[in-house]
Amino acid sequence: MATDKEIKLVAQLLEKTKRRSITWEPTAKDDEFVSTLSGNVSFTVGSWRETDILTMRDELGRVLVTIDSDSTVPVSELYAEARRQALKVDESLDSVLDQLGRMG
Amino acid sequence: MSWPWLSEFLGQNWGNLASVLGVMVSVATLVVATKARQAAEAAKAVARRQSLTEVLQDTVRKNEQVGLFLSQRRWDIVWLRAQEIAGATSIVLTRWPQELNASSKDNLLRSQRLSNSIAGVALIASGEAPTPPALARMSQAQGRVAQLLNTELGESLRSSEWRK
Repeated sequence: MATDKEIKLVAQLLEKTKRRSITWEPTAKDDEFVSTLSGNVSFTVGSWRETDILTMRDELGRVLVTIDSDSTVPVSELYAEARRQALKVDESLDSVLDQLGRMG
Repeated sequence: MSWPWLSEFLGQNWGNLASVLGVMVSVATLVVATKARQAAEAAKAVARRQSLTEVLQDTVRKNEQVGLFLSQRRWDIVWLRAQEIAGATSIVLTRWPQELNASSKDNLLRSQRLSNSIAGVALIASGEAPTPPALARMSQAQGRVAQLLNTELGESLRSSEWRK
């Protein structure tokens, strides 16, 4: 079960991701995205066997916190939002809609 | 001003004159010591920045090798070099925290995570050939690491030149 601080962390990350204050980018792994904060910690969010997992690491790459979607639901929402941002889904949709619109 | 007058003046005020001279010598010593300390600190900062630049240059070279060996499908070397890059970024972050601003630290942290992800995929690839999309993701991650590390190398070189 996630602690109050961990739930708060996920909520804050989700909010900042939606506001684009935090940027995510794809890693070499399938369905994994990375972000950093103030040069102190890094976050990876990924999907593994139908479970979404958020991991926070320090500057040495040591795992500080791991939260999965089984313990707090918003991790799945964060994963979806991070994926959307990292893969530029909105930009692609805008482009496709624009092309479709011009087709008449 | 006659010699007897000067002699008498010195005789009566030698203590005051010695004190004034002492203060002047102390101030001069302080100024010289401060300047010497500042010069030593500046030289130390230049040397630290130079070391940082060298480590970043070496890390950029290793990332180029990741790209080369990735194209040759030599997964064991890709894994090794990607691990070395991740390790080097950790060293840079802990050894030169004062030389790096938050943005630079972010770039290095991202390089670290991306290189680790490349190493992870290379490890699996050594047992099972990666799919074309997996190869494309590795290549993109390697390119992104190159971009991030070159940004930091450029910044470090610029700072070194500015300090000189």
